[in-house]
Amino acid sequence: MQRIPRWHHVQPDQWQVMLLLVLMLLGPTPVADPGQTQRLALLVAAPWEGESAMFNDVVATYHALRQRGFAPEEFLVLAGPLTRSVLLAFLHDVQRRIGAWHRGEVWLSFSGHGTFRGTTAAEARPGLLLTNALHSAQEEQVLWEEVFAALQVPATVQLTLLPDS
Amino acid sequence: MKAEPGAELACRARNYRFEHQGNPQERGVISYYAGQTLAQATTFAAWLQRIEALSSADLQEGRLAWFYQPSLQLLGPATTRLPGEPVKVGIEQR
Repeated sequence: MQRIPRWHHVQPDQWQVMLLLVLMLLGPTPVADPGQTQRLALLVAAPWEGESAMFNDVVATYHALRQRGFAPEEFLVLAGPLTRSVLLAFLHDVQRRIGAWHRGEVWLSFSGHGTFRGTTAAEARPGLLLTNALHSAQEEQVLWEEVFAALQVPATVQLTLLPDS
Repeated sequence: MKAEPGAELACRARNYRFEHQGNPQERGVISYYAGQTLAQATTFAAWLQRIEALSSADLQEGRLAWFYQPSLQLLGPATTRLPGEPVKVGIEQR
């Protein structure tokens, strides 16, 4: 069976299920509330085959942010063997949710592996490496600049990035 | 290291087995220390300070090999408050 990653709104009791099964939970888009700071936490795990660390990272980060007051409906989780198109689709979905925000906070943590394009430090372009193939194809990489371009976080929204790659 | 023209460098993230509720658990090193210290931190600078203090303590007490110790850098204003509200020390849950 092919494993297809999906993104989720997380409920507190879903973690065990989420790590074992592939589910697609379409939750409501966070509604604008002029009296409250809008925020969204994006937890992305891109393990290579056989790795469990990235899933554990997502669970731990979820609990840490819950302790800081994030509500379950303020999380979107993308975890599993990812491709470039799946990751970018996820980010574009996020952009549709946050694009009209006038203020707010977006948290993005990525747990996975990295890569660089370029031959010198000066021209190196860092990115994410989604597979452990020796010669990875374009479909298996996403540059950080492409991540930011897809998200298009409004200038008045604070982006917190925690890259573990 | 200099890559051949047109070649790519892969950066394999460092995972490590940390103790979690009495059992070893694979974690990304950066994520582990970031997560352990996130709940109580107020600003980004304070968060980084806690990460460095905790990883140094683990190193000194033999819970972390020296080549796994993270060396992190803040990009952006260090005094900005982290999202959400910090947990008071007395009620932190682990």
